[in-house]
Amino acid sequence: MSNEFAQFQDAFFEEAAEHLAVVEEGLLELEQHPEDLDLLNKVFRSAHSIKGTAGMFGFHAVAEFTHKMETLLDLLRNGRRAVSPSIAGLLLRATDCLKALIQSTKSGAAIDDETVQRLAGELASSRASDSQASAVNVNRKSAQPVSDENCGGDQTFVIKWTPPEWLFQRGLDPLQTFKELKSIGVLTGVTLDMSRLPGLDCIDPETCYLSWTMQLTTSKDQKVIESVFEFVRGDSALSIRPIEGAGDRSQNLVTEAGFSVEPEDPKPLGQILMEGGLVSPDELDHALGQQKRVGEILVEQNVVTQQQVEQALQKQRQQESVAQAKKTDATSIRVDTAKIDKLINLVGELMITQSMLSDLGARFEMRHLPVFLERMVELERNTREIQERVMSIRMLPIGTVFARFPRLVRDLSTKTGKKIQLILSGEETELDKTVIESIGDPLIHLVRNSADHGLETPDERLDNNKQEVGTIRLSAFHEGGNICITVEDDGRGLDRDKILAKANKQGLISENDNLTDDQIWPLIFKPGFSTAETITDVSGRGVGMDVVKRNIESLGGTVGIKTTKGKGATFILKLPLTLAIIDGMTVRVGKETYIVPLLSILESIQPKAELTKTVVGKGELINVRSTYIPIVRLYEVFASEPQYTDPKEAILLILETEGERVAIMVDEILGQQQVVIKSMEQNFRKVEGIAGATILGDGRVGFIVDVRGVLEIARHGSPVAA
Amino acid sequence: MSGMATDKKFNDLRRHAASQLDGGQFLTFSLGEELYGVDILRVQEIKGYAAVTKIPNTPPHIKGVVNLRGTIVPIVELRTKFGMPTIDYTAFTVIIVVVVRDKVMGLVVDAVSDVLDIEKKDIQSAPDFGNKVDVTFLNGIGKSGDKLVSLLDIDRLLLDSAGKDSSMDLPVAAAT
Repeated sequence: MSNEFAQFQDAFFEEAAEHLAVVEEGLLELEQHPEDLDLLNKVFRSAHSIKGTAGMFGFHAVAEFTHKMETLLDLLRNGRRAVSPSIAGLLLRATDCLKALIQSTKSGAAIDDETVQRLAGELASSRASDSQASAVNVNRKSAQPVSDENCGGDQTFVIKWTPPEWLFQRGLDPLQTFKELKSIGVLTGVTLDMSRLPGLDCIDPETCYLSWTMQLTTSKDQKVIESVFEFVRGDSALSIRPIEGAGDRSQNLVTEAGFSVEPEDPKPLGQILMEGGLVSPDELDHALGQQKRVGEILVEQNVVTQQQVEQALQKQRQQESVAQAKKTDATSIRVDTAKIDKLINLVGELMITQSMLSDLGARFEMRHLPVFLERMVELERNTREIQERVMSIRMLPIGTVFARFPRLVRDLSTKTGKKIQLILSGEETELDKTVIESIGDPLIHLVRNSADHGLETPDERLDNNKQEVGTIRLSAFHEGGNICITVEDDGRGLDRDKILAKANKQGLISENDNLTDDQIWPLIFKPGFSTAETITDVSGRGVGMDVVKRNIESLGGTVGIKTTKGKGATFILKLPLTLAIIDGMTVRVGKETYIVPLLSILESIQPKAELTKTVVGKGELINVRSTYIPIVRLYEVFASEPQYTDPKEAILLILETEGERVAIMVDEILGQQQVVIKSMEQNFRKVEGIAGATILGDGRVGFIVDVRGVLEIARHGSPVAA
Repeated sequence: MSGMATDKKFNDLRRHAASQLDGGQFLTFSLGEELYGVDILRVQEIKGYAAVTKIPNTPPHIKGVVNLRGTIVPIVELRTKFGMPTIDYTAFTVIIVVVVRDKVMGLVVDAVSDVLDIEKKDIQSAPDFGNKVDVTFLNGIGKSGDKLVSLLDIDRLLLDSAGKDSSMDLPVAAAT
């Protein structure tokens, strides 16, 4: 297979994934609003696109399966079946199956034939059972109900077809069309309308002036008839109208065939005539002024009533406004991470140049002028490059992560037998792509936790004077330079006594500990801590809140809990806007400068001598408001030369990592600043105790302290010393 | 890393080394009285010695890191790496910035000397000193006039420093 083809295939898989997301999202929403025809059309279009491109690439299994889904969707679209929870469920399962099918096509893995067959069968039988059953009377927003006689058996359609002028130019023969129509039914009463034929002197032999009216009796669907006109549909005035029940089927007017297909911007007749010099602009305007609109003509011909035309026009306007809205809708972007990294690097360089400049400015002398000019050139280059790249790249909205939750909650609701309503807000909040990618799993866990542990069963809720339906609210918003994501439920809330009992049992606390709520809630983040009495299908399988906390902390964030017993619980994730820049405290140890992430600093103190104690002669502790916290001397961990070795001369930073507190001893605090994180791994390797490097104001390199790593070294000795 | 993968990496490097032995242009530099050469295509730039930031808990031949236009570049002192006595840095002391695979690293050398064309016929494979002298990081010995140039295999010399089980953690002399 050539590379080029492989490249297109990748595009197919990406596109398919997007369409699948649309289908899934649409189906979920459809379950809530079964009457939304626009939504259904959207789902149908996406499924259709998957089918089309899959067929084009020769992924027949995918195309075939999608076709079956599409058939069922079409029935829904035509209003012959109502969207019921069972159908939505079936379609969702089919979507899953399709996902798996596409995945195995991509990876070349074996296809789970059994599932595919079973679902394909279900889809088919769901359709078959329908064609016998009488049609369901669905009142759609914009579609009319379909009368019974249209559903089964033969049906006669009146087809009026005015082909596009270019019909002959493209080598298309109307005869072929008639032959095809004949092949699907009995074609009668074909009449030719030559009224548009001009006099012989101005006839253009390559232009088609003809139109036809015919009757077709067929057992086939209207779709099938439309498909005959597939190639010319966009530019044709085509009307396909069943003879029976003609009065109430306004949606089959000149319709979908004539208007809904995206045209490739063909020129209007008038323009072509004008370009050909056959008519003058004035003549054309005059003619256009006389021209009647399609609706008026049809009303005159008594084909439809004025009211029906207005309805159809209204529908058209609606579709137009939807199309318009779609254009302004933020579409998702797929950006190469390398591009983003490059941009982040550029911003980093800019910041470095800037801080170099301010540094230079602070101690400027004339002899520094050449350096200054050099820096200015660098600044200019940086700015220009960033401007170029920034135009093409953006942060991603968190909506891409939130999108998977409606489905998750739906499934959780089925599994747990609880009624759950999910409310999303702040989907447009943008955050770093890396954070976006890593935040999904922790969020899933929290939502599961809320559904399983937090929310009560419907009966229990009713007993407690609550609404039967529980609510899980997922929101994202900016707060003080950070992103906050909250997972909130209106369930039981955390049970103080239960947590205490469990913590006691695990030996995390003792009976006599007098803990405040704020000290109790974080206990659930301890490994192996679960207050659920039984392990359920949904949670309690060993992956606990400790993993959530660790994941969030590895992103440089924090997790907070707010809860009221009986009212619900809220988990608050606070994350940095980006992983590339952090707020740091610059500290000095001897001649070295280190940066400590601000998020982990609780406070800094200059200890009094009587507050430091030792254990077993060596283990140092500091008494901070009657809690003893171990002291780690940074110079010992990093094997460097300090200025002070006596804690009472030095400064202690009280840090918190994974719920643990530690006091790090440094010589001096230099100040607080935002720093750009530079990777050590890029050209070297991971260094224990160092989270990364950055470039300081004077152009030198400073290291960002990895608090956890420092603690490990302090406890177990450094890798080299060991 | 599995044994097989290591073998493969090693073989790749060998193959690459073989092509270097075909001769070409070499940037030569001195360490004391000795002359060394690196394939000029691997040299990104030469810069004067600037203050480095020492990386905590790394072996002595890793001098530290410098900021090279926004990129953090580790600096290796070749003298220490080869187990030669260290000297005070002078105005001639330079950092040769080389590209090893996709990594950028700096070598501190006493002074750069010249760019030499060395033909294939003037290159002989590295002599075997047994355990006494480790020459695994040499591709061969080149002759240029009456000069003897030790041609460095910088991949082998430096690549492992980025790896986890790093030979860079220990000076070569101590490794034998």
